[in-house]
Amino acid sequence: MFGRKKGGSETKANIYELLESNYHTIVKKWIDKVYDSYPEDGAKFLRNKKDPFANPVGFRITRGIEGLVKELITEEPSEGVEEFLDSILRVRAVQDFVPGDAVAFIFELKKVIREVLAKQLRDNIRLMEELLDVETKIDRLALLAFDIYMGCREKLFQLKVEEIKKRPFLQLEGVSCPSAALSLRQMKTLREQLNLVGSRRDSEQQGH
Amino acid sequence: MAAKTPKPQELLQIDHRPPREWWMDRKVVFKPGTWCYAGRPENVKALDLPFPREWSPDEEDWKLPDNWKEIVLETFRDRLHKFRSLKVFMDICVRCGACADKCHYFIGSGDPKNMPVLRAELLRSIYRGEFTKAGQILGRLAGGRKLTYDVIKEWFYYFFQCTECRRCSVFCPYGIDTAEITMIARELLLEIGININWIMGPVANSFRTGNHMGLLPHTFKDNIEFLCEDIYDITGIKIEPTFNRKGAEILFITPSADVFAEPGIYTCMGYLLLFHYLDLDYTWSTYASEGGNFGLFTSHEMMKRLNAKMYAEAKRLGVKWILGGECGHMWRVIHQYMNTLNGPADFLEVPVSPITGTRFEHAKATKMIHILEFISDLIYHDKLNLDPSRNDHLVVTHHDSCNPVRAMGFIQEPRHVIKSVCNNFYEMPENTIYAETFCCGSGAGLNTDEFMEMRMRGGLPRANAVDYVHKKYGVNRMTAICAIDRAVLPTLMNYWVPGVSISGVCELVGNALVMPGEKPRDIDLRQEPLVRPTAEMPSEDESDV
Repeated sequence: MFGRKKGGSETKANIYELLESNYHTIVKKWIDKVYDSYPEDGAKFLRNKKDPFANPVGFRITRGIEGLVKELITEEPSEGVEEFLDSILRVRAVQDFVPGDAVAFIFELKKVIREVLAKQLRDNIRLMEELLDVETKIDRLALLAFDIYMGCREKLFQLKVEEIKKRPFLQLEGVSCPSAALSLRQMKTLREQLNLVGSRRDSEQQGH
Repeated sequence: MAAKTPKPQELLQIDHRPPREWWMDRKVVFKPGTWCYAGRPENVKALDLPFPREWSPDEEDWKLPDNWKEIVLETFRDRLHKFRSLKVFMDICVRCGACADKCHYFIGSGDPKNMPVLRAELLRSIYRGEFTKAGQILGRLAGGRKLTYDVIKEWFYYFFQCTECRRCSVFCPYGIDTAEITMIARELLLEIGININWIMGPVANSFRTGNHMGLLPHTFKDNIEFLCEDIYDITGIKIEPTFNRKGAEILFITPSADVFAEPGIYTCMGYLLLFHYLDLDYTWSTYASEGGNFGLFTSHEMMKRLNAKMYAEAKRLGVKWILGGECGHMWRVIHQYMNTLNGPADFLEVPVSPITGTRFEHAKATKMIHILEFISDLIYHDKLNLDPSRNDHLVVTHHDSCNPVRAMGFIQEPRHVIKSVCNNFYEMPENTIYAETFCCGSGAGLNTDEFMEMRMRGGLPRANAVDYVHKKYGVNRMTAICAIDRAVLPTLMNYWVPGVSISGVCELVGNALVMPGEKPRDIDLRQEPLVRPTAEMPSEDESDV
């Protein structure tokens, strides 16, 4: 999805080369924008704690943002985009964000790039045109982010339903507790259903 | 005049940053997924607890009694007088911040009020504002505030977002136990009728039938017998356990989830196989049919009431000592509270293994030992015929459950057993195991489906470490010696690390234990083929079991 379009003046760098040479600045500024969406004290922790196991949210955000910027400036698109988006959105899907705020960080990248390349972009029509190309890619990224966010939310709903279904006594119609189930001689059915649910879940988990 | 509509310029000023305000000014917003449903009146009534009524945390009016404020302050005063530890915890925190980033809910949410120091401050600020001179006069300047309706709501929100896992207390230089602070806060709320149904239900059921699920004796017995039928199908071994048998040497107590819910039932099959192998003189009880004690998450009084049932039953049956299954908080209650609540259990004997003769002196007061220390001792004395290759289809890691590891220092015994019954074991990173283990995110009665978002946030640090060993070593099974873990970790893995299943340690023991007279074993206790699920392994038909 991030097919690179060559063009512009041969004597000056194109937008992708500029992005590449400013990779670290862009990553840093974009990550900061993501952290800004958290309460101040929380953001301080996310920024400063570097251990990936002590700070999994910061770790996933950093990994995701680095990956996404790399993908954006790479000639060939890769499957990795979804994984990097997932790295961030799987977290934001369970945090205190309304859907818009959860995916809003994608659009922050536009601001970051305009800020970082402000000097080069000034009065350079060719670069501005190339920038539009990049921004179109960012828009597509946002749509993909929304798909992934929704996928995570749907997974959550599914997990809730599965847990409710797993409560054994709810699987039988008209039976309010396990003892009642037994008195109705339905325990066998109950166990069969239990096994079915269990084996289905386990085979899903283990992929066979 | 028409309502003020924003101008285009104003609309363009979109800011996704949360507002900056002093924590005392920030009101709680009850968003679905972050709070649990209120206790149902019938459950509250069954326990003789105050103010049973229909109410919901997301509604404006919580239908509190008119004198709620007096009740809370009076109860607070009473607890400060009763528990010296609470008074100390209220006074000595120097806000050093050592605990701040140790809570799994804070790590997963970034919400500052989930920092243990600030969570405790929710209570401490009222202590200062209502009970200390400095706080009464200087108010906020001295870190004090007055008790208001909003504070009560804030307490409910955040003290039911603490799993009492005690990870923060490991790092506190003063030894402040935030779990104890949460326990007291929940007690204060209980007095004005604020509680959650996921705790009230199991407590009421335990009070009535002896277990969380509300299983009556015949159901409990029948289900264990069903598990024995499965064992017969898998191993060809016929097991006939006894129930409520007077004069047995040992009473065995485990969480009822092991008897009735997946994946605990496979752990239970492991217990049954082991006891049959040893020809142990033990009995199940259909009355003390629950190891878990949600009273711990309700009040000290309730914890005592439920714990007493186990010992009353041991006395009634005339057993010598009690063997406990793979439960989490049961062991915190036994190890840290039982002796002062209901002990000493003078009518029982210090546990002695009938197989090895080992005397478990450390259980002198409670007369109750953990099944894994019992098994570890058996393995140490070479009393079990084990074939670890029967777990070769599993690549295992171990989750240290909060209560056994932090409340009783139970670290090496499970590992000794696991390493003896399986060939592929890998530890998660060191700052996520042992005393620094991360909670499953659903303990202390918060393992309910309506709390899913918070559970996934709180479980992220644990899942993140599992993800690491899953990718690095191909781990596909995590063991956990806690029934809540076994109930909630499958869901957590499903969200964060699909491909990792959960079991108790005794399930692996049951797989590996070579039973005299058994038929050739080609399936494990889950009735799944004994092959390693990787591409390079031979197909199922060729597999060597």
